[in-house]
Amino acid sequence: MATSVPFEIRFESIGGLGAHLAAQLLAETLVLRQGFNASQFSSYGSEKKGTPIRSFIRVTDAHKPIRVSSPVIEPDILAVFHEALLARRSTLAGLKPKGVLVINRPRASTRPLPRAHVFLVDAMAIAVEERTRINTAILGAVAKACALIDAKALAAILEERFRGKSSKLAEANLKTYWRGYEEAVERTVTDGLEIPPPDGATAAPRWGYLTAPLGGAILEPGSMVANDLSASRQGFAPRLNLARCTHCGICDLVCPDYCLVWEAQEVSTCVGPDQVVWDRQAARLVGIDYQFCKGCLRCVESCPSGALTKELEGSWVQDARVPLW
Amino acid sequence: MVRQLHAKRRTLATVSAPPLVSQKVEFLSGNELAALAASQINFHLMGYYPITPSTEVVEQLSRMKAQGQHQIAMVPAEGEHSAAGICYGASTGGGRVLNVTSSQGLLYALEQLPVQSGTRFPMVLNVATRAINGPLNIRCDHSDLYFALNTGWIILLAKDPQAVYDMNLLAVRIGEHPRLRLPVLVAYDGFFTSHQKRRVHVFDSAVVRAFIGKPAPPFTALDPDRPVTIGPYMNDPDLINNKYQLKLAFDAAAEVIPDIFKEFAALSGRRYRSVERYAMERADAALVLLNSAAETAKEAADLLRHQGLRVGVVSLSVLRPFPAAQLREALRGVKAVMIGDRADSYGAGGGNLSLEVRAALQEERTRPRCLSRIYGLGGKDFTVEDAVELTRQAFASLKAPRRIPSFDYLGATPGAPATVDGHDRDGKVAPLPLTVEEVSRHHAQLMQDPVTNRLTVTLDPLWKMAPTPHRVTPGHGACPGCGAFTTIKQFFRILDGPVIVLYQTGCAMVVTTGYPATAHRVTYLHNLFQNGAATLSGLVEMYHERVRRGELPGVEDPTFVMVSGDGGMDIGLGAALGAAVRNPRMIILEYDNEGYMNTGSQLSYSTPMGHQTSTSPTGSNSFGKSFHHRDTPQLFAAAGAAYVFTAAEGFPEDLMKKAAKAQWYAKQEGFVYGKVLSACPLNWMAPDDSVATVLQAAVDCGFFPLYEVERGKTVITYDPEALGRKRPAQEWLGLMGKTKHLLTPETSSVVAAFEAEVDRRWRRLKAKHEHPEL
Repeated sequence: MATSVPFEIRFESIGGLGAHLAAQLLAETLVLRQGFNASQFSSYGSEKKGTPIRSFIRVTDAHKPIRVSSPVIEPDILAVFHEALLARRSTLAGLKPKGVLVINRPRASTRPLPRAHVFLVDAMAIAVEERTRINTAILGAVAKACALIDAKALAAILEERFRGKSSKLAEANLKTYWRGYEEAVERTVTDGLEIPPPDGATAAPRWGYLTAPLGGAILEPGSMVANDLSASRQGFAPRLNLARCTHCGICDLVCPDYCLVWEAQEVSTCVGPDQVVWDRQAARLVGIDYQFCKGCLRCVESCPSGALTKELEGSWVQDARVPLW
Repeated sequence: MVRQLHAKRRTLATVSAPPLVSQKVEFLSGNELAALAASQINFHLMGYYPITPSTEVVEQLSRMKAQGQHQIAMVPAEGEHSAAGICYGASTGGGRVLNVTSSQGLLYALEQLPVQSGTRFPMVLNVATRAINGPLNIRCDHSDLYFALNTGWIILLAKDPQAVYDMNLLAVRIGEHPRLRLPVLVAYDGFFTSHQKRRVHVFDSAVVRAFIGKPAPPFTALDPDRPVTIGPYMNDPDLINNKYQLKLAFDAAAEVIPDIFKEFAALSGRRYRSVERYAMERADAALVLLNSAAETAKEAADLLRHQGLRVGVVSLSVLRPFPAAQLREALRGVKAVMIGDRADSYGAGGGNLSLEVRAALQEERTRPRCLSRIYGLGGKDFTVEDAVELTRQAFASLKAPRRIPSFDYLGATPGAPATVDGHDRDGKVAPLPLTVEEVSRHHAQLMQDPVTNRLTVTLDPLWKMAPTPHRVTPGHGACPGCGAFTTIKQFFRILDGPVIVLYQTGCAMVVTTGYPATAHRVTYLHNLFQNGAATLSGLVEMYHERVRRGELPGVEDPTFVMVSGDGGMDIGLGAALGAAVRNPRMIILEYDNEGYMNTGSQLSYSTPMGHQTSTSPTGSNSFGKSFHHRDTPQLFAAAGAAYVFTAAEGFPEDLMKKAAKAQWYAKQEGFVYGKVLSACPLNWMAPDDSVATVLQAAVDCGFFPLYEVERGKTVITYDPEALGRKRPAQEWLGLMGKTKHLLTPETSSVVAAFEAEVDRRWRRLKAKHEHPEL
């Protein structure tokens, strides 16, 4: 655990969960209220919701310059904003042996924990109850996990921040924050997943100057199909009840992620009233490939028969997945 | 004459410096500090076009202005070329002018830069440095900055956020100095400095105002009593003298800048030097680097000095004028100099910094061994370990000069042998390439009406279309609920036969082509933001020429489609209208989500009046965007396009029918343009699963009429009035977070102005619909 400066913090999150803002408020507290010097920044990409994002804080004495601008690869404090991120090797990579890990984890979760000094908080449950976002709850847990963070000073910064919008919002966020602080459970996990060694800041990419096609051309069409976007969902997923489905195809028009799985049945036979038999093509919706579904629920909005419904994310998703390929 | 004018003016440098003033501690990023400095300077005007990573400066300034914190006239251009033009024009008017840009923005504005300096109008341009295309990269290197080296601008370098603030204040003083009268570029590292927050010290605005003084131009374009001809036609006997004046100004700058730095140090306690030295006492080796990388190298120097290696770091605060003499002094006695460039001057044997350092050292009697390395391209991190490695190579070159190359790259990787054949997909298999037959399912049947000559379309039932594979794979990284991909799906599903696409810079481009993966299953191109239509029309012409020469079979012509956001149709409108006039057989499909959403929602010319974006925020002094959305389809109709249509992804059948017509016209007659209203739940601030309602309301309130212009004949394809579905704009505006502020009584006049414009356009459209000749 970080008990003296310098120390480094890394937040692992998904765009839209508010990790960047949380890190910013924490760093502001450390600099403007606690008199440290700090730098804070996030991984840089285009402004997309649902894609992995990392935020970093370096902390040192007020009068020591911070000159390094590359990402934090060996954090003293590592906060994971979504349990699904634990599946990625890079999420936990480089956590210092004496470091602390804060995980947003549903109380009922059975997912194995990494071998580390952990603080567990069910930030989603708190946020749902308080009608706020998970980032303030996680900040509470982080404040508890690090003795060098003045929890009251951070609360004051939070209050200032939200007071500007509405006092109700400020109150709800403060409550979320302190609940995160109080409800975070400290545990020392001795048998679990090993913390991977740090990823180099400059890991070699797959293609190199001897192997990459000239000019940056990509010669494998459609290779993005290997991506897994399931971490983009924020708590909900569409569920298909086939018994209610009329296979009308309206959902397919509005799905931006092309993840509905259809089966074309080339020939079926129908008998008309005049007893004439004719061939006809049929197509049926057979399921959803949750590897690509980002949980926008536009299909649910559009479904005229109630076959698609909004459901809390759970282990059913894996069972219900119908792969496109 | 110029000298006489100058002689009349009191030089600001003689103003006695106030004593060290108290400053406030803040926690801000480079971009935030550039904005703060600008607000305190209170420039008269800023012409801009947003580009990552400099956009935040504009966003900050827009927010501050909405809250009444400064009075800078903020002028949103439709591209950087115009932004630079706006700035130039404004600067001739005697006030202070600001611009910020990065990467392609700097290159697109480049031709304006020598005009600014050659006609001697000071202004300040911040450049958050970023790699230049192509392929497109949004992260830091200095390949943009190096293009500005020959433009006649003073170039100040800001190594960290504090320096961004300081250099912006200094830039005003330096550029306006009567001996100089030069534009000043302040360069800081994109993301590393632009986006990293640091503990910094800032002045009170009054201190800033006192330090910069008042602008005192020798003449302006806004003084009717003293008419002046600016920018004459100047031929050979004279131009060389104009340029010699510029040269003399740079000679003077070498003297003036250190003086102003000194004065600033007395005020702030922060002493800048043209050449900064770190740990250079009796150094055997020196690393010469710019900006954030030099900062990182200082950590390495500390580490290595501790181990007994005598290594130091030399960096520059001023790149133009190049401080050659101070550099020689700083490097005197050093045995090995390692010069790192964050951009190559291809074929020159080193980057520009490297070449200039080597040139400067030519005048030394004993010259150190010089090594040049290219590092950190496209945002590749420069770490302490990298700096240690550069030092190691510098020392090694003293022992075995032949073994260490004089010029090389640091950090390029050859690639793993397993990927040589291009088939290693980490065990995952890509779908087979799409065959034309698989996607050509003839879901639309076209007939020509013998009376009206118009095409009529019959669509397959939806269930029949659903199993047809897409030309884009799932796995793309768009936000949940993204309407661009619904638009693309509905449109392309109808197209038969081979298709070749070009995506303009924007969301759909970025999220489908993150190297080394692509979501495209058909051939895809990307070119510059403003140039897509020209590029695709070039490919179309090449196709037909190669068919004519018998080099391609020409059995079934591909359908050429450019996909663009509404942002691409701002900066790229010129090229697109140019193409429309030439009438190549291609389609432009615009997904209009009412703003520059790829970069975090800045206003576009398609953003409706009153809507809130990050460059049209709401506040006590702002109600959102101040001018109307452009009626783009009418421009293309006027340009004589064969087929023009509007559609909304919430009206799929209408959209798909128009897709079928678009393909027919693009294959038979020529140019097609279509604008499709596409949801952006994130930046519209609407729930992902409410967009159907929002789209319906947008169309029903008349904001987005659905119609087509077929061979010049306008036909409204969905008439909310006739269907009894017309409703007030408020019903639409109330559905989105970005427009909720328009429901208050204070903004009712904005909504009234918006509705009046929408109604005016609707009445004209109806007239065109009704009258055969309109």
